[in-house]
Amino acid sequence: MNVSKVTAIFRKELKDMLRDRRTMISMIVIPALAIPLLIFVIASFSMSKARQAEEAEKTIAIVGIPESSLLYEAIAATGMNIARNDTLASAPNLLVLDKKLDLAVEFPPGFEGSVQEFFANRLETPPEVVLYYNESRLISEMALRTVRAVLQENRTNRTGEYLESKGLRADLLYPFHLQSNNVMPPEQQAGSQLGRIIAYIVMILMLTGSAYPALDLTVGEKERQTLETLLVTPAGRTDIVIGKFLTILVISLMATLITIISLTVTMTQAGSLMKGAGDLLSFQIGPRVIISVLVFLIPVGMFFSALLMAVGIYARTMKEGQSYSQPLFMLMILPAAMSMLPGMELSLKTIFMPVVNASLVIRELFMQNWSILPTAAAVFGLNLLMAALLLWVVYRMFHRESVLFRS
Amino acid sequence: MIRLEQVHKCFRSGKKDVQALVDFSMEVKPGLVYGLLGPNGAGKTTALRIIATLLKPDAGVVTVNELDARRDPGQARRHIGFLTGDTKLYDRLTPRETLRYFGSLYEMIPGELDGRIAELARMLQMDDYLDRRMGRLSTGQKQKLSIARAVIHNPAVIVLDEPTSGLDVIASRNVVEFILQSGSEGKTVLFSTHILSEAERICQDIGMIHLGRMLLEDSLSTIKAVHPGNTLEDIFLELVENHEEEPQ
Ligand SMILES: Nc1ncnc2c1ncn2[C@@H]1O[C@H](COP(=O)(O)OP(=O)(O)OP(=O)(O)O)[C@@H](O)[C@H]1O
Ligand SMILES: [Mg+2]
Repeated sequence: MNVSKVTAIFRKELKDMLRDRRTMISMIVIPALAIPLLIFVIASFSMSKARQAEEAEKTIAIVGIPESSLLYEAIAATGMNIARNDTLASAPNLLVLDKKLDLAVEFPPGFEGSVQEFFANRLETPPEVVLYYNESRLISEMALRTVRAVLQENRTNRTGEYLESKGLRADLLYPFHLQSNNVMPPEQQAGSQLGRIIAYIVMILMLTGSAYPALDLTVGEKERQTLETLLVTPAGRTDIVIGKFLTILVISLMATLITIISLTVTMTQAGSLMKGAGDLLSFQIGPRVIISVLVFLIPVGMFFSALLMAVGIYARTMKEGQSYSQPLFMLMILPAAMSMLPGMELSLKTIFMPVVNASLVIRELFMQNWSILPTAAAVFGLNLLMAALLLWVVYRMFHRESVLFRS
Repeated sequence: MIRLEQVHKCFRSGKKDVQALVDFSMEVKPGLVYGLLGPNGAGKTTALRIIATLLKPDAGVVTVNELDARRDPGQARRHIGFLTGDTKLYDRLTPRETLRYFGSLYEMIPGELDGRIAELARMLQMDDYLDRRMGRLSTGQKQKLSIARAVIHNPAVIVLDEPTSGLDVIASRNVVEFILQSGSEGKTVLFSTHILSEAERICQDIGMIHLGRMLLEDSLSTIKAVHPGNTLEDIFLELVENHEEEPQ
């Protein structure tokens, strides 16, 4: 290897690539514009869904108790629309399923009497109130929460009154208080929700960011018939492979840096731009996170660059290279998406899965979970090893006449 | 000086073996223009690529400027300027950037390189567009730059593979002039073509290749003296016929 030749090749290739509009699009335009747009659309969509569900009129049915009862009135006081019982066409649970109702509250026959019997110790088990709801509908869940709160309060009040009637203190109901404190700092809470999706976005953009230069610098050069002019110079094949590899790596890391910066800006600005998005999006990514993620991603970028370079050298035409890289993308996107699944954590098993391991580490880094640094170092080493192996394959391929001069 | 001795080259494409060069020898002397003539698929490109160290021969000796090109390809490449009719240039660079890039790969020092660029620009009348993006240049302008690129390091040996193919009259005259001038400067010039009349005009030495074998190698004047009144084409066709009659 000759450093000055590698440098000359690297500088020329970088200049050449940066003058290409397609590089600019995959490196700058998509990360800098598409990402914030995507996040705003997702955030505003989910927020407007929530607001819609909150504001929408909820229709419920109450069966088994008279309209004049206190409990009925308490539920009615929540302002929800209560369907008259004589208009119900079929069983309340079916109506909820059909989305005719958002919630159905079913009291057993003789409910009030049964409650009294239970207090008087003449009934072994208390009567059961059934709430029918549909978990897939936000509006139904909201109705459930409201009605359940009313019923719970009513239940507590009745027991309190009973205790007082026996000359006991009502607060005996609560011989101790319960308090749950979330120990996760607020920035990590936001991180855990968003870390998953961010890790995924970063990985995908890194892959797509390296795909175009990797193909252009290999099969693109072959197709444009400039490769021979380079091969006849004293630059060795090793110099050429390393010079081109470094160019691809730098471009994919630049794309990643722009992605992360764009994500950070979006996250920090979103809270103030969108009222109510605060909880979801007020997510601080400090310089420490950015630097650690970028450093960690170097071997991952090397892995992607070498992989796509191998495809590019093997392909005869740009078109062929693109169609070879499609299944490869799928192969990479799947594990990256897998890392978004709730149960996926860094473990002795996942640590050896390429792409999955890196996505999981990035997620933890975004959550500022610094305790995983030793694991991150191991994953760093593993990715470096894989990248080196692939680069060696690329190097071997670049020395094969039958690959370079395929006709 | 270029010398090939008993070079063999076989390509494996699929299950079939293609004997591209068989027991192939040739010698190109400095100061003379050598034309390697042969029909499509004869093995011209293969021979020239072996000289330029793009391909490795299976057997035989390849000498370029007294250097063993097989053992020391990197060193041999410093002495060779290689140009083919269908190599292209980097569209997003300017001619000056292109020449600087290739110059640096030949380890030319900046001062020397800029002097050489100025000299070539003057020689090939490229001054007007030296800093314009290649994508906006005409075919003829690009062709001149291709020539400049091939000889940026002032090589002693110049190898050209069908350099005039696909060029119009004016552009190919530039190439022919360049070949003639290089020969007169004492350089070793080897070029391949399947247009025999072109070779007849510019070569001193001729090699005729067919199916990977050298059929005839001599100076143009000797060949003409042995076959009075015949064109190179007649001579070539006669040779091919004789060759195919030989039991092999
Ligand atoms: N990379 C390769 N793989 C397989 N076969 C090849 C390869 N390169 C050349 N050949 C074969 O070797 C033989 C010689 O080819 P070559 O390109 O040297 O001929 P040529 O004289 O340059 O022809 P043309 O005038 O068409 O350029 C042909 O049969 C060709 O098909
Ligand atoms: Mg040819």
